[in-house]
Amino acid sequence: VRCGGILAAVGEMAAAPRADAPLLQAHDAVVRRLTAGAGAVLPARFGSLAAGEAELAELLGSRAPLFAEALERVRGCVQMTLRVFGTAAAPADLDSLPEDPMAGPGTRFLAARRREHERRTSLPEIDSLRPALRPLLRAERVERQTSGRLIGTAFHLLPRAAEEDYRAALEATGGHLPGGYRLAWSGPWPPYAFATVAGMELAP
Amino acid sequence: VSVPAEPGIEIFEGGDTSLLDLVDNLLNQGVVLTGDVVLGLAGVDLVYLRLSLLLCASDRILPRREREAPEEEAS
Repeated sequence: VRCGGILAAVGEMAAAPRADAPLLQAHDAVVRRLTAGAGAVLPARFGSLAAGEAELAELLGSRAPLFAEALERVRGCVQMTLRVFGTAAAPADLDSLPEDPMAGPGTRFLAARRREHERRTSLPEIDSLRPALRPLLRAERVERQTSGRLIGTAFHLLPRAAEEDYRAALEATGGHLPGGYRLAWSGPWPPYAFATVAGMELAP
Repeated sequence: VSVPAEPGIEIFEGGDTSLLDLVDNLLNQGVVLTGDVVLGLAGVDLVYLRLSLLLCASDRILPRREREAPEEEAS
């Protein structure tokens, strides 16, 4: 389905797809082929359905500039997924910052929300890796876990050409970081975690 | 003496790393074009789970507002 400068790859489905391993792998294979053939691809959430081509064109057309922007962001890039295991570091000093005694309930609420957001989107456990990774990355997204041995995941967007250096930087750690953290990484992936368009995200 | 790894680490560090990442990428990431994300997954719908988390967040905000301005809300 063409909509301005955007092309949507779609297939007709008689029913909702089952989320089983073979189907997910097949879907990923299609996304990879598209990514190899096109300069920039934004994968849609698996299972996204539209009533028909007209509805899809309407959805794309209403946010065409945002899609164009998001496509430019991922152009020529791959995603690497880095997971960090261990015992989470104590929350950063963010929590111990003194609250403004003059702040009203609204300000305190918003400040607490901001601290919570910063806590959920930071991964200080991999700070020792950052000098090596920073020059390679175009973008980073962090998802922190609240329980279990998986502390968090960093999704890294990097130019295809930087993949080898990225791997070398991680392999140099031997899979371990100071603090007893263990690393597991995978990729390259199509930029699933960077396929975000303002107003079309469910995840924070 | 071999210490068994915790299941999560064992899975991630075993051969299934990419399968788990695949599931995460396809079901948790990606542009959500419409509200109609429908999946069958052994009776549990992960995407709707995400939607319901979003609803929970709203629920936590709204009662607070109502608590702070009960007069205005009651009409």
